[in-house]
Amino acid sequence: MLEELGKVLSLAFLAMMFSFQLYRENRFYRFAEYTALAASLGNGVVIALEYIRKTFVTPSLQGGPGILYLLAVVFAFLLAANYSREYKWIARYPMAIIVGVGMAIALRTSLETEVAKQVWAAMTSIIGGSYTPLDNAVTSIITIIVIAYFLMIPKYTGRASYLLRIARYFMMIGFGATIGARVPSFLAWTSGRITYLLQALGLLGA
Amino acid sequence: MDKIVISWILLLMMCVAYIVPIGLPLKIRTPSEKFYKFIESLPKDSKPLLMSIDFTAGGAPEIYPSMLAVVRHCIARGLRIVVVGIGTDEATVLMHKLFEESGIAKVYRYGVDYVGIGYIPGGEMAITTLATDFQKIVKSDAYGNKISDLPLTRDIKDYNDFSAVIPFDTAGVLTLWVRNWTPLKVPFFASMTAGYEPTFVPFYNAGLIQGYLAGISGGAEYELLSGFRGSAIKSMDMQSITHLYAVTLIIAGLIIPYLRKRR
Amino acid sequence: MSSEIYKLYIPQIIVLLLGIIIISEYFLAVPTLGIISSWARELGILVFSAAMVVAVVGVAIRSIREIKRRTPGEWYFHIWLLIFLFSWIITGCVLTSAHTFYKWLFENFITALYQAMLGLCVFSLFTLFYRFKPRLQLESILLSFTAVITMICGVPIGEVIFPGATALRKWIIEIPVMAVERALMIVMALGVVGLCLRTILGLERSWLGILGALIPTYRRGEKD
Repeated sequence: MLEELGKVLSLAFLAMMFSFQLYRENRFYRFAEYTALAASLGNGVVIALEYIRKTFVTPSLQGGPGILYLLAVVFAFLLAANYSREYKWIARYPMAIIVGVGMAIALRTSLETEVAKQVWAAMTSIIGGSYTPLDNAVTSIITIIVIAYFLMIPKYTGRASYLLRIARYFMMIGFGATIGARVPSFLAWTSGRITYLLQALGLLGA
Repeated sequence: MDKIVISWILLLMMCVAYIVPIGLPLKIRTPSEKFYKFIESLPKDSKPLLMSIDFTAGGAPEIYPSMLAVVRHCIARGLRIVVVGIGTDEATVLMHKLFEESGIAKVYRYGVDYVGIGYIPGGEMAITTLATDFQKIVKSDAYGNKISDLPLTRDIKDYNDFSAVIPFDTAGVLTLWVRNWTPLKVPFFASMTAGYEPTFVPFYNAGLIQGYLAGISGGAEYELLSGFRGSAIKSMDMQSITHLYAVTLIIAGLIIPYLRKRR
Repeated sequence: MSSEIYKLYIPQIIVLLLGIIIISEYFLAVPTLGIISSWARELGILVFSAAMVVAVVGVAIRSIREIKRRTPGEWYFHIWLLIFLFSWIITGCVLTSAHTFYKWLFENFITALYQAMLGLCVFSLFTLFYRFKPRLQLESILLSFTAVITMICGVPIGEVIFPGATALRKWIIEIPVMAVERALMIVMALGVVGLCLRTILGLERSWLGILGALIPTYRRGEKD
């Protein structure tokens, strides 16, 4: 019975959501939107509380770090002070932990993989590797021109401004490929509900 | 008005493409082949694979088929797996669904051959700590069992205890995985949303990652290679027909107004 | 001045100290730094989890405000949102996420709604294809042409229409597009490094949530 009820609910939500595009904005769509928001937030809270309980509260009650873990949990929930006008500043302390740790980790790791390793890979020999010399040359030239576009814009005057234009052409090729590569994603996301609908109607096997 | 007509035609096309499949041939791309060959090459007693569910329930139709095919392949090869989730809190329940659909419990013993940790909050902080101090942030699994009690995970300390890391991502944390795990020289494979492939190719080109599955096409290629056919292959005909429809719309959008003007 | 110390300066000092310790730990093999760094990361993860719970408070406050104001066409949806949200939380906390009923709820609410929501995008996209009118400029033509080629050559029908489509797409993605994306990645990473350094050193203070936080000097009397 629960399965049948689930099917009815899922199909009803599908109709409500798709009505926005297939008909027009309406109250059923808004209802589905708010339900989605509530469900997603609720799930986030449930999972987060489960994690806090499993990882910090339960071990603290079983001995070991004990009181330290409980103090840490209280400290973390000081974030709630953000909603008070008078005590808003208290929330900056737990925020400082996230900001300090997050920024430091991002700094040290992005320098290595997104700058150093990429520059190293860009300094490829024209002859050799799995690509033809022409391919390697094209790659190197495009990389240098596009980096120069971002790092040296104020210095482009006169004939050097043609370099700006060429860099923009290459970037348009890059952005075009990204847009073109996205289309299968959108279709795949829709296909989930389409296959569910067809299976529910008996037009498609499992 | 044109929006509604176009939408209905698209919906009908998608339905027809599923009901009446054509079965167009699919070309296997090199990154997908490398991914498959790596799993094939792992011996049965190798260290466990670390897989991460970083896709949401909304993005699951694109990436979930790849993950299912990879997990089924691992089960067939007798490889052990540890499943976590970093990018989204929906990972825990999606992991339960994955275990049910793959039938892993019928073949494997929980705690010995596979463990499901579930969602670990913290984003990049969690990814870094998983690599350096696994048991610091993973005290128990998604079912409440202590990690130190399970044979598979009791001796896992850091990145050295995994044979490879495989994130399945639509939530956008793939770059964080690459930044934190690739410097440790752990074999790195990924499955990502198709739109992210151009952004991710520099990592592949630099040798930081050894293979990847891009979107539903990548999933279909892996299903074809591994023999575990699923929804990804079935979707490829729908992709072909709707892409043709898209090109037709672009051409029609250019020609029709021109013809109207001439009239 | 004294309230500035604990409201403003101490959080910034915490960020600075944590930044120095975690960056140093990466480059120096000092066990103490590793221990403090590990502890800090663990605390950061705990705060992150708490933020997910605390976010609900913000949503609840906003919803209650909308209900009190009786915003036309909205206020009754906010009542539904609050009822459903807290029912979900109570159900999840009592049953846990591994329970069959919770999985049923997830499948028939979150999966159903979010897959349908994301699925809506494709209809707008295809309408955009019909309404698309490229300008007669080389940039516009290059963008459109590359998008169409990447689209069509990435699906099986592309290989049927034009043998060699897969190889063409492979070349486009692995040569010019890869080069552009690499350049963008390097430049953006340098920007990220700059932002991280500015935040750690206290030059970027937008995270503190105060007005004028981007200005390096703190103006006396400025409300926070």
